[in-house]
Amino acid sequence: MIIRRYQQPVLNYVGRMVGERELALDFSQDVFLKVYASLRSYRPQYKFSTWLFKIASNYVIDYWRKKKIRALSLDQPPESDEDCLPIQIPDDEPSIVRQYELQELRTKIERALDKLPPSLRELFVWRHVNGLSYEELAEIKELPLGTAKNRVFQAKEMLKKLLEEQP
Amino acid sequence: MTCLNLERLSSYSEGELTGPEKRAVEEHLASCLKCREAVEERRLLIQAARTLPPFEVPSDFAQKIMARISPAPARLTVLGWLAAAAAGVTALVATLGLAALLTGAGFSQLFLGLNRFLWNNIQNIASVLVKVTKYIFLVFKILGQISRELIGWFKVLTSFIGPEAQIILVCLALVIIFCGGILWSRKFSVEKNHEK
Repeated sequence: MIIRRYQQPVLNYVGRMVGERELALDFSQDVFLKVYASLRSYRPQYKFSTWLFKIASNYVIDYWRKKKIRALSLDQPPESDEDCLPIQIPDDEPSIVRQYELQELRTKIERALDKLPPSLRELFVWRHVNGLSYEELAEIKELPLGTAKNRVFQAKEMLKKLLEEQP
Repeated sequence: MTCLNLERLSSYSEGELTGPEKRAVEEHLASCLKCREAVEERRLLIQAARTLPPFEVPSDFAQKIMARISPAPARLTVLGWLAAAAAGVTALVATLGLAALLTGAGFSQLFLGLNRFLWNNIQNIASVLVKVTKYIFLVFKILGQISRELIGWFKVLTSFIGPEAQIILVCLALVIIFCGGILWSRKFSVEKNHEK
């Protein structure tokens, strides 16, 4: 019952974090096994989905650590210029995002997501792909609400920039 | 005209702003094309992200997880029991039929013969069981006599020794048993390591 209810959001999240479908399926299964093994530690005062997604998030972070993928720390500001977001007021050029039809835009987003730093990608996927609220997101990542909002904003702006760079 | 902060526009495009903050942004948007475009771009991006195709979940996804959680023990259902019983009866009838064909005897004759054969075997098994029980009782009887003899000897021995000496002797015996046990277990573990 729990599996059927949450399999889609978990797979959507894990799939977009690891990229490969088969790997995502294996990981998602492992996430549910972890959830089952940790059921005793669940406290009913917390939302079950948030607790489950937190386990999924930790699982993916462990994977990054093992693979030694560089992930931005959520507590510290980005170090290099590459990580900094060019937050500017839109210029006079015609809108690039507007040029694409929604379908084409989806394809480009999938590609651009792969280039997004994992820690930002994670937040973007939780918020805008899986549709979680900022409150849930902040709880999953154990961040202050304002930081969570700011990070999602950064992810969105970086994604937009990556979309504009695509041919 | 100064354009609005992008973070604010982003929050507005997500519907996060309310009350006077929202009204202020809307007032600005009414007169600023750049900011309107910025909001529209972000709305499109969010809409596209929200409608990304979901990863296809295989139909056996949950089953695979459940199988890993608890490997299902092979359980015989009512239907299974009935099938097994039916198979047994069919096998018996087929064997009898084959025997009738080979020997030329009647079906009822064969059935009676089988009955007799089974009954004889049950009788034989029963007589063997009675014998085995008798032997077991005999062994217990002998063991009881031996233990009585041992207790008698022990009483004779202890009548010559004082209570203090008895305690010392018991302690010594316990120490010897304990040391012997340790030495034996060590030897056993060393042998096991060698085997590895």
